[in-house]
Amino acid sequence: MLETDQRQVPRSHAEKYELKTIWYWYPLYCLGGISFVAFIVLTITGILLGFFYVPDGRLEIDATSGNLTNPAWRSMLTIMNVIPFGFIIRGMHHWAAHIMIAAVFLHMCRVYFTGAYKKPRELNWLLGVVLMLITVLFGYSGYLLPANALSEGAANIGINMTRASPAIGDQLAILLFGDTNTLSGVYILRWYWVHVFILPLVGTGLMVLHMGLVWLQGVAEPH
Amino acid sequence: MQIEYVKGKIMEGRQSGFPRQYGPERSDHQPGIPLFPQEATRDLVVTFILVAMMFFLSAFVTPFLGPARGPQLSELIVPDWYLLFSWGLLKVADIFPQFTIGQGTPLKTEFSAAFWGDLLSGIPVIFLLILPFIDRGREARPAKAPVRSAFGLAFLIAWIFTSSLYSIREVVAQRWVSPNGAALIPDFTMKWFFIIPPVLVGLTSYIALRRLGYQPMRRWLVPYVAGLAAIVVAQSAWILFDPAGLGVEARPFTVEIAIALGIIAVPTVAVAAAVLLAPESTARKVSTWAGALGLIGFLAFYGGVAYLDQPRALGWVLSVLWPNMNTLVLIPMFAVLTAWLGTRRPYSTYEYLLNECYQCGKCHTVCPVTKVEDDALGGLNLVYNTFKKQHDGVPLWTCLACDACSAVCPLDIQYSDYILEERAKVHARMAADGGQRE
Amino acid sequence: MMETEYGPGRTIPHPVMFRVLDAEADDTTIPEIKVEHKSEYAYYPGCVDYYDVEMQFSHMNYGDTNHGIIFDSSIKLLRAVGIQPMILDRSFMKCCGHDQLWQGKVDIFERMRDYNTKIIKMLGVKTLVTSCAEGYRTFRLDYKLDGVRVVHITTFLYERGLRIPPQPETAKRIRVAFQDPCRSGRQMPIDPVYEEPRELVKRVDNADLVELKTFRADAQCCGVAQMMYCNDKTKGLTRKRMDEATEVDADYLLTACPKCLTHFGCLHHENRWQPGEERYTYKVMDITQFLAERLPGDYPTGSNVDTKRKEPPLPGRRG
Repeated sequence: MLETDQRQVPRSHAEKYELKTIWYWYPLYCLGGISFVAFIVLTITGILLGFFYVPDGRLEIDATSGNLTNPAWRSMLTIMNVIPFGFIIRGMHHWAAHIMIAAVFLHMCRVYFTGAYKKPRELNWLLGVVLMLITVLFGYSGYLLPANALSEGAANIGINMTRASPAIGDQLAILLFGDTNTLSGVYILRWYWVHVFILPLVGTGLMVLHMGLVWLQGVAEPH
Repeated sequence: MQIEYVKGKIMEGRQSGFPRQYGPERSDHQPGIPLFPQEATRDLVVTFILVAMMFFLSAFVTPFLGPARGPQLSELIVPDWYLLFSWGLLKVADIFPQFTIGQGTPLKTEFSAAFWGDLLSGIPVIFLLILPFIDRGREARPAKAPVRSAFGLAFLIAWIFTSSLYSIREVVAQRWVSPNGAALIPDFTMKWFFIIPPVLVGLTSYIALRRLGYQPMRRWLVPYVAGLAAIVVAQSAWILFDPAGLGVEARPFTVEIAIALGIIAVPTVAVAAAVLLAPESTARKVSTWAGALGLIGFLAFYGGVAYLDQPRALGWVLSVLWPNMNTLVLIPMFAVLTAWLGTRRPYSTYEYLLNECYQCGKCHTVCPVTKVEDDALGGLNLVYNTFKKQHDGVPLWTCLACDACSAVCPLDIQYSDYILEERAKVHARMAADGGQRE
Repeated sequence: MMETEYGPGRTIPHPVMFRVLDAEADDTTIPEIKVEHKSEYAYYPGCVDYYDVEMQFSHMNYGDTNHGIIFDSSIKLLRAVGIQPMILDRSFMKCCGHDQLWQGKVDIFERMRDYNTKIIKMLGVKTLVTSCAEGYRTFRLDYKLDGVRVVHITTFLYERGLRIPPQPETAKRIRVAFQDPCRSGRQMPIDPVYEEPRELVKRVDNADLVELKTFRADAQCCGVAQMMYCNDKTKGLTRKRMDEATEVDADYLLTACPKCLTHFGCLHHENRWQPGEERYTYKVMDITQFLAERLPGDYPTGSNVDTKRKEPPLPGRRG
């Protein structure tokens, strides 16, 4: 340990007084960091996938086999089977997404149960809730993109829930999904744009703010 | 003098007195970890481990792709796990009445199942957003904020766990069937999962956490456990004795069913009786034994019926138990668990209360004795010395009990009470050892 | 007795005086009680006489600190507000037990407490007035005196509207500082005594109340508690406090507790100042004495003050 008189992390209660505590308490404080690492991985793998993915979901009939297909789904096959290590990159993107959502959710639970949202950290908590929603939306838009059966089912559920909004339901569905049903497949292009531009922009900005607030206010240590 | 020499060696290169943690006269330059290279290396290693795990998963567990999208709805689609809760809420929304208001006007609002589902999904978000503004207390530790913790756990069970489970109700219904083809866990039971387990979890955790703080929880424990036991007994009695209780096909297996109900009800009633009538230590022992024996008994019964009796019997027993899972499985478990948690030995008083201290140092700053004393090995901070288990020594007897420390303590810890207790203990020890009565 | 590595100056408890006081606890027979006036207002002077003796025979000071005068002043003040108190003196009462309790000798304290409580109940006391902050805390918090109102004398006088007549015009303006005793101030979760002594001082028209550097709930302790120690460290603390009074140019330092008076007085009449070292120039006295001096009329002055002495004696005199 080097001695330094820069601003430094003070020893915690347990360390300073050499108390016997449950040491595995502390990994719960790494969850925010884990979700950020996962986000970095997602960004990098997302950029790589973006070179090959085609956001076109319009239905086509395959000439040779007569099956229903679409350009987005075909680009997924290309990524998985043709592009060197494409399947690993897609796999990393998939698993990092699950890890990020799990980490964000557990992080929120930890902050709730240790009361770290209290004064003066209310703003940080609100940012965190918004980030949680953004993360879930990231995940949702993510599994709409491969244009497979799951995308179709999920889009249907999404459209129905949006259309159920009073008065503006149908317009809102057209705004978000491009149409009031999934037939045309235009929702894939919409949610592609949300997934690769809108959410990353807003999300990164809010994440920087969130982490900046933690840096300034300090970590709320439990006792 | 020898003692001077020893003290000198100890204090070599060290400042005397308790290290000051704040302000310009800071003297405790604690070894922290500089960002580069130590902290950077540590973070890099952790990151690499995480990424390596992701690589491993990606290489060996490929995410599913499947056929392209099409207008036909294929087999059951299950969204990713993090959205299951919303889907479950959508499905459970069919219990709400459905109607339309403002028909024919621009503000037409159709209270359909989907709309109710939207509303239900929105409630947690609203609650989360207003949370810091409705909870203005200072207490951070989860064990010291039992309402918040209990409420949070109940909320998680209801809104996340149960709704995710409910979203796959069709899968559950298909997979687990009773011998006559009906679903083992019918829809009705699963709907009750939204209410019973959250309430049980909330109340149990509340009682358990309050108990940690040395609160006698009898006033909560007795009605709760006794009430749960009454429900269990009533339900079992209805199943066995009411003609509508057992279906015709389950009639031949009444004996096995009665044994199962007995194994469930007897520990529950025993625990309720112990909590009501016996002193706490007895109730604690009874609940430990009841829990252990009940669990072992149930597993033994399960194995026994499955292997010794016909397996069909097991199916019929389960067809009685599982639809009543809330009352016959969950409630007994929680009754015994709560009785055990609520009768645990509390922590010793002053150690526990002093544990609240978070070393802000204000008491040390105002203590007048610290201004005239310096102790070689660490200082006269009473809390510090308590944690080092140095009760009987200079700090204890030099304290003026002037309560300047208590006056500034943000946690309102009364050190003078502690001094009184500890000094009395020393004298009691001396007297017990046959020492001179002072 | 604890032998610590710090040497004999830190032995506890204070040997002779406390052995005498503790021995009292053994005898629990209630003697015949003769009080001059029976009244529902009782005044408990406490161990002021003991401290007088202690000061006289102490080798630390030249024995002029006057505790007995607290008793006389309190009686005079109570009569001035129309009360003839029943005096619970030490012919039938025991020590209140505060020091024993805080030294850890709980069984001795309990015996004293039970004895005193019995007598107080027997005499039908409704209001118990003490002039000692430690007694106030002990009777209020550590005794269980149901139906008896325990009150410090300053609170009582304030409530009863004690009036100090205007001082003669030749009197200079005096700066008066007040030491808030810890026992009656921040150690009292209910009914702490902060304002009443100050109000009473303000009623003396030539007195300017000045606050010491730390006051009210932050007031620094006088340096010794429970008569546990008397050594250079405790003297250091007392000196710190008295230096605060010098800093505000006080002419009087008032206390509301005979213990504080003991320690301030001991240092004030310190027998070991080297010639040429500065003594404290202000007067140290109890607030009851201060107020009673400004009321008209006489009262017997304390017994151990040598009125003929004009200057402090040479160092080294044994009291």
